[in-house]
Amino acid sequence: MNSSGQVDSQHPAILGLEYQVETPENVRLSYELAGPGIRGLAYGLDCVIRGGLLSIASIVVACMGLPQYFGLEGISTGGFLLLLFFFEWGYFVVCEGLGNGRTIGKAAFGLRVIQSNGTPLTFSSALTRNLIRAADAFPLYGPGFFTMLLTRNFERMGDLAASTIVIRERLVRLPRQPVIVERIAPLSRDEINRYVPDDQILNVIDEFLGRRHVLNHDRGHQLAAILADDLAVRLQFRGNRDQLENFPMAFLARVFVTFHSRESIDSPTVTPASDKPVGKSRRRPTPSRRSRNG
Amino acid sequence: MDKSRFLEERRPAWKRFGELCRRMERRNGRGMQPDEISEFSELFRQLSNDLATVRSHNWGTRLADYLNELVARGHNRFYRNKSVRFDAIREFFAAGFPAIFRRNIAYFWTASALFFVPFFAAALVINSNPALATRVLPGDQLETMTRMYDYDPDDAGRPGITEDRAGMGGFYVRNNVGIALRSFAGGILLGTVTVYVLLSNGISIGVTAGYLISQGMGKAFTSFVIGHGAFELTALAIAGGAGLMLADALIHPGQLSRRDALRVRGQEAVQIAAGAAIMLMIAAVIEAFWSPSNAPSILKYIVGIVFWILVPAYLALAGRSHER
Repeated sequence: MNSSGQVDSQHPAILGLEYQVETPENVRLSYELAGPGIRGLAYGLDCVIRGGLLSIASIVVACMGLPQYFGLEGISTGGFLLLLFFFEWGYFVVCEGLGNGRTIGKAAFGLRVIQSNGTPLTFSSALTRNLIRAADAFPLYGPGFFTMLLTRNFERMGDLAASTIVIRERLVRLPRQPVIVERIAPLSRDEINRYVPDDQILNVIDEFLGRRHVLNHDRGHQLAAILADDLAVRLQFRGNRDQLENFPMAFLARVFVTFHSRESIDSPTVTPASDKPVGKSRRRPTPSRRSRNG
Repeated sequence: MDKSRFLEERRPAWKRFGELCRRMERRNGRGMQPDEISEFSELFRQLSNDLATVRSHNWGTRLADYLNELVARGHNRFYRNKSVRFDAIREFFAAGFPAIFRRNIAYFWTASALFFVPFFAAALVINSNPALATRVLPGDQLETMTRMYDYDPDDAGRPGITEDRAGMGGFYVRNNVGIALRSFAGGILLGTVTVYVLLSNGISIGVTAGYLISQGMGKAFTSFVIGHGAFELTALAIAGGAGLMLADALIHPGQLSRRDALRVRGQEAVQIAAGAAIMLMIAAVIEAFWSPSNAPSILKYIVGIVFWILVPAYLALAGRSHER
């Protein structure tokens, strides 16, 4: 019944690029951490941009003959050195501090710096992590890279001091409707026994059918056959063997349709702890239906 | 609750929320109506719920990923920090910076000792035995210095602010602020870089001072440095102290884990370092446009002494009324 709860409790054990934050709304948010590779690329792009802007600025200053206007010969050198100083120390602070954790390079590669509790980067954290960059960067970002390998969330020393992480923002789209349930005939009662596949199996089928487009037709059926055969044995399927053997995906779809509608009637769903209503305003009719079921 | 019905029912809300998120990101949400903002906050809570529902029913990882991304984006917008305002910057220099500085003054004293003790020691030694100067600094550098300060500081007719002063101003900012920030950042390497920067700068500045004084350019040199020195030397020690704070957080984390100690003390240290950087920029302006001017040396000494009183007074007194 509440198999989903068990699966969730096993979740944090997974090692990987996942970083999780528990929000005040009692929801676990997960972020994909950005590794040294893509961060290096973003940094490279930022370097190119800084270098480009600096050379444009120096050409403009030289061409305009700025010194004439101010009567000070050194003003172009001074301006150039100030600009150099800004690009060395200020560029990352200003970009990240004012751009909600993104420099131009980070934006191009879909990266963002956030506080490790999931909130936006504060200006003082942007300052901290980018001043300490000097320690991370010398020599050749060696210390920073080394620290990134030693810490769990790819934090360089600046990140540790500022308690920030760098995440990859995923471009996700709402998955399309998985199975067109209306057009698939459910298995009939006399084809099968009383075995009921649990939610987990149904969810696997749902997900598999939803993503069937990433496989070619034959491979899809090959993979589906593994589960389809097993289910057919358990259900003691007495219907059309032809379909089972040649189109196991269709068979899975039929299993899904048969039990998926049953599930919502038969099995009461236990409200998990993380699904408490938080705000007073919930337009969704879910809670009332749930309580009627339970 | 059926998945397809859930999707059908909730999809418009998700779409709407994504749209509101995008608008919040643009121009920091300034173009939004009040009721749109309350709609945003309501939808944010609803979506948090939807995400929990999808997860608990195992309704597909892609659907959960989709909602996770939306909620994460909303979370990032919803729990926004105050943006940096001009008031906050003014407040920082009027009260915040000196107050934080005083709270951590022990680090400043340590850094000062690491900087000023070698400074005075080197100055005294070299002054009594100038031949040793070449052991520390290259001979041609000393020669350039000697030529630079070979003038009568009270000769009103000498060229004062030469045309390259603005260029030098830029150089002072980049060089000095760079040194200070590196000595701060190096603190995270257990203070090694900080200590090195403080000692080496203390020694080389001390040697320069001692050598020039021994060569009879004492007046030209001291009247030149006294003005900006009040800001520059103090700020170097302040930035070094901030670096030592980072080092100390790692060496003596106290009741906290090293990670937490670094975060907590780093937050104060970075503000001290930022204050020091601003002081060094002031020093650069003075060094470029006042110190080399052909004002009589007595005036430079008076102004310099005023600076040497004002800077410590600012650090010691500013913002005291806020602390109680």
